[in-house]
Amino acid sequence: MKKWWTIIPLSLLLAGCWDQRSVKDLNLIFGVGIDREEENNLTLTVEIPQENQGTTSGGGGTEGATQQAAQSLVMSEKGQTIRDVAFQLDRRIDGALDISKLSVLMVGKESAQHDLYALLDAYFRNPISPLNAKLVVVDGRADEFFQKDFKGQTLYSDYFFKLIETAEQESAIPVTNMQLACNLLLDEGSDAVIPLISYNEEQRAAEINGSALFNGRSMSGELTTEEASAFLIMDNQTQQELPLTFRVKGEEDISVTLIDSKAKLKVSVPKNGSPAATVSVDMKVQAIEYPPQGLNKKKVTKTLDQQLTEEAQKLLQQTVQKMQEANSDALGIGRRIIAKDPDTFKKLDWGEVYPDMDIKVETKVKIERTGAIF
Amino acid sequence: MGGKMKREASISTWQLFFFLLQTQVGVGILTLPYEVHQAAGKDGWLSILLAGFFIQTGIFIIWILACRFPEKTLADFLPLLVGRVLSIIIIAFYTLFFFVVASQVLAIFLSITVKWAFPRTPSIVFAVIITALTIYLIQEDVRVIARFHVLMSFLLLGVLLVFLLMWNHLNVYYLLPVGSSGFKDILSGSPKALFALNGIEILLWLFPFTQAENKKKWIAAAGASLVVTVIYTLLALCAFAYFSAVKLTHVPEPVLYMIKSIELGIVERLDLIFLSIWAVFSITSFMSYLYIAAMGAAKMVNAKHHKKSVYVLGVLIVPLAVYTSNAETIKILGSITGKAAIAFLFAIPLFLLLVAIIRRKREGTG
Amino acid sequence: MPFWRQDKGGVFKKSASENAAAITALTDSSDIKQRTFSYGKAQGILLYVETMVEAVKVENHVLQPLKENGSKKPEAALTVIEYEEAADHNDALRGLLRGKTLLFIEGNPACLLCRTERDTGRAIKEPMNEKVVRGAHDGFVEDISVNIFLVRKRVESKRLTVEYLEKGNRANTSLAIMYEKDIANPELVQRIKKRLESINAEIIYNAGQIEELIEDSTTSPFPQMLNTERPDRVAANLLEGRIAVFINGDPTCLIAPVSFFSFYQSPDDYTSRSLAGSFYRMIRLFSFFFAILLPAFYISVVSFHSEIVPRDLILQLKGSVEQVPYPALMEALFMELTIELIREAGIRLPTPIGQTIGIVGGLVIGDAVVSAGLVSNFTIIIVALTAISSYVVPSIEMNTAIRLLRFPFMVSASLFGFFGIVFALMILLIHLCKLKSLGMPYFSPLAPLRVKDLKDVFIRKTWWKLTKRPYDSKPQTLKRESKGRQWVEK
Repeated sequence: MKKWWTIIPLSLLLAGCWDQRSVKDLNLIFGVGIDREEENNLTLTVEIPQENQGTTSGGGGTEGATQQAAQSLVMSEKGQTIRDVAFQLDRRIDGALDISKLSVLMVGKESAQHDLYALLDAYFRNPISPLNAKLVVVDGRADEFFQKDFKGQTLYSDYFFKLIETAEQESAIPVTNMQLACNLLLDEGSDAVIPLISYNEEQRAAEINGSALFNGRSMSGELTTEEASAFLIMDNQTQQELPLTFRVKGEEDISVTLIDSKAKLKVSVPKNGSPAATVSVDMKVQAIEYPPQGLNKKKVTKTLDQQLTEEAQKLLQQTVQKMQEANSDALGIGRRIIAKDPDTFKKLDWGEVYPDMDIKVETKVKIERTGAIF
Repeated sequence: MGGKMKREASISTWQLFFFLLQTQVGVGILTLPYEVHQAAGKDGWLSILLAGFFIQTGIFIIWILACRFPEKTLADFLPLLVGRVLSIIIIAFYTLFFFVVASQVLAIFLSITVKWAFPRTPSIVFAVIITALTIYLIQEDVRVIARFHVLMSFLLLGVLLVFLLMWNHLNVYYLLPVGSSGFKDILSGSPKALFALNGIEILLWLFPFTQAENKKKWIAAAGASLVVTVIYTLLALCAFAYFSAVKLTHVPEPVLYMIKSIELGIVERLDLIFLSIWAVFSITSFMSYLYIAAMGAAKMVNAKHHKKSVYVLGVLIVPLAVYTSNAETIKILGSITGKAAIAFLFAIPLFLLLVAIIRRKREGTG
Repeated sequence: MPFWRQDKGGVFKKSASENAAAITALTDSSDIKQRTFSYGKAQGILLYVETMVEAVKVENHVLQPLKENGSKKPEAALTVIEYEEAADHNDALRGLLRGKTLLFIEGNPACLLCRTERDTGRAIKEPMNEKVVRGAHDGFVEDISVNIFLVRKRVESKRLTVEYLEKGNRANTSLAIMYEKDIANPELVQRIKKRLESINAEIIYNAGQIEELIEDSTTSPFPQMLNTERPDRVAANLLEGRIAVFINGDPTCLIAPVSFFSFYQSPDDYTSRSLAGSFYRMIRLFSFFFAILLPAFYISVVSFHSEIVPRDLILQLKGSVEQVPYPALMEALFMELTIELIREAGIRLPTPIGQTIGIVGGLVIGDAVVSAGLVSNFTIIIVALTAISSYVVPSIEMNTAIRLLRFPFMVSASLFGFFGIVFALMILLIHLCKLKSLGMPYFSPLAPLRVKDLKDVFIRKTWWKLTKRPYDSKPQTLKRESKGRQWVEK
């Protein structure tokens, strides 16, 4: 009848399944490490979890799949480009390497110091790669890091990923991923801050060890975790928690956690003259540990507020100084200048102006809560 | 022919609104922010607004013209204005235009699909499937098509969801200062937006099918176009506030890239789901264009029903779209259709309007 | 053509025995009995089909009164509730075959048909496949008059109209159309009558046959008429301006025009509180998408878009799928077909064995198939969920439609992943937009969109807010004659 034409599309379907990528045939890469080598070569390290779901014990799914801890396979190879290495590795394992579930991408410190963005091109070009994977700089080489022994851990990438997520929630590092970080790597008006991870030989554990500062596409400095937290406060990026410990007068220690903070960045661009910026921070904190007690007395809290303000001021200033030394405009001051006066910014040599720029920090800390006791 | 006959298949104002909306919202969702950024930098969203304004003027002209012949489609009243021969030529041009735009929509759809999700599936497979399901719908009368378009408009909520999800990552300072690119650049960006916002010309066909007062029809058309302009502008704003300027030059489909990095607990990689929603919008606008092209073609050969012309055009459009679905041809054809759109949206209706005024033609006077 | 229309029947003569002989000559069956008796001075003859009449009725209401009142006219003597005079032999024969008693009086060239049918039918019980928790528990039976009685008892309206038709050229089945005269759209009544009139079949077996003969599209997987065995459902639909068709011999009543969403409404929604009713209705509508999309979604995730699975789940998914040698489509098809087998076997077997089959099929096969590595754990979950969701719909025909629909979705998903689902979904929705029930749009009030009517589609608003009838049956009056909660002080 008239419906004969439906046969044409139907017959096309018979050839079907061109783009099938069955999950069972994939070798999912969970972690990637990249190191630059000499002569423009690079080393790629991949971690592929080997799920060995033991045959379910008798009775089937009643007690759930008795999943043993997933083992992982770590492989490294040298080559010219990332995809080149990936193809080499592909020839060595069964099933196709698949990047779609990548959770952590690690770059060696030295490699990050020369154009990080160039190393990531392969991942941006591939539509199936997840851009929400965590990007971290490794203290040392990334391939060695993957070969290290981490106590009690089998699936390293997963471990790193959770480590990073926890640190993000505690505001020890900025919340970032490949997309967000690379967005900043390419931005002329602000610079990226990327978490830094290192290996603790004694504890045989990985450790979040502050953040890497970038100047343009290359790493140019480091912040400790405290300084990174200070940066987050100034950039209004704090997450759920942010613990800080200060030594105040009388060799007493106080630990506080941030309840709420507001930072304001003011940039002034005089017509003829160098621009200046002021960061004013207003923090409200909760005391979480203060052994001398007595926080119900107004006098005590007042002096504590005073001292905390001073200490915080010191920390913030030190952070700003470090960022300037590294020529890393992580606060996005350049972006503000562009927003205000794009023509002036074009005239400025931002790379030259920023390190010597006058950035004032104004801090105010107030203890709002004292916990369950005074 | 052409006498006053009661049109049995009529649509309501709301259906007109969504019909136009679905025609306008199409493949452009993904690429428009990039295209206007190329021309006008971070002020590209102003280009979209400007294009929206142009479209509104076009709607106004078309509306005035159509109001003179509230019971007739373009093909019906053209002979009264310019005579038989010229009218057939104009209809032929309109038909060709809609046909090429339809094929263009399909070609862009195919190229993005190949790039993002189905690199190995031959384009022709998707082209045939989409054309087949389009034919399945558009062989029906306008009412059924309008119903379907209204139904599919619920998916717009999915687009709005993007704004909500992106909210935390937007940086207003990327947009500032507004207007620094200069008026010339902004103006040069608007033809690119015009292609994405294109589609309002089908009002010339749908006008008599709509059962409402003339004024309400204008509100529906203008409203649809306004909503589309706003959606596109918001998407562009979103993309510009998310990506830094340099990064934007690297990503031809910024909206997808943006969504890609969203992390939700239940589902990862929302871009795939958004791509599916986008597919629906592309297909609906493809349907509208092909439908109008088929109507025009049927008028040209004096066919009673547009069913046969749908089949013919359907068969023709598949090879055309597949052949043109590479970046270069899309670019060339895009700039041609973008310019042609100006003619079909403003020039011809304006010319016809002038003729109608000068020759004092109205419905009933012919 | 039925026999009484084929040719003209013979005319009655004065002789009763001749008349009786003429009738018995037309039909030849050993259960036709003849009884001669004296009626006053004349002789009377009763003719009846033994198996069709109630002997007591013949005895008490025909025979005895006639014998005792020989002086009266027979019409005055009879105590049966209904009698009529036959026009000719064919008419008389038709009455005879329906269980009427024919009365001939010597010297009177006529034949009286006395109503003495035996009416044994099964008791009125709750329909098996439309059970409700609360609300009326009566259901239709096979006898058409009982069914009409059940509805009439509910709708005591002067406008409630019943029109009889007889169809089936040989078997002669009674049909009845029922509608509210001042609500139902006369055009639709005309339309359904015209379609029913056109039926030309030897016998009407059941409602399904009628449905197929008068529905708008026979190729569509969707039922375009609502089948119900519940009088309350019929009553509610009549008052929404729909038309009911009863078929003698089938407890199912057909209702048209209906929309897709009618199949998702259950009397339970209206007996429970509005909030609960709305929630369960949404669950039901959600189950539609769940039932047709879930296996397709699973297939496309496993074989195309594994990247959308969250990080923490992907290894489990991969581990579970990895042992299975077949592609996801095969796995899912295998399990879906198994479920269909179990269902079919369960229906045919008596209830206790049916349950056993369910358990054996569900538990044993399900478990063994996983341990044998034929099917993955995830597939079992998906298929089980799909099966449950497809049985949520309160209508058995819609249920079959859904169960069939998921197969094309699965195939299309296995070819093109999410895009395959999108394409299939678009075709489905286009089809629903095109489909009509008795000429009325089937997918209303979504397509065409009528926001006012949505309050009884996705949710069930409180009774007193449902003051307008739904528009999809184009009723003559939209306004319902009811106002609620007038006692609330403002």
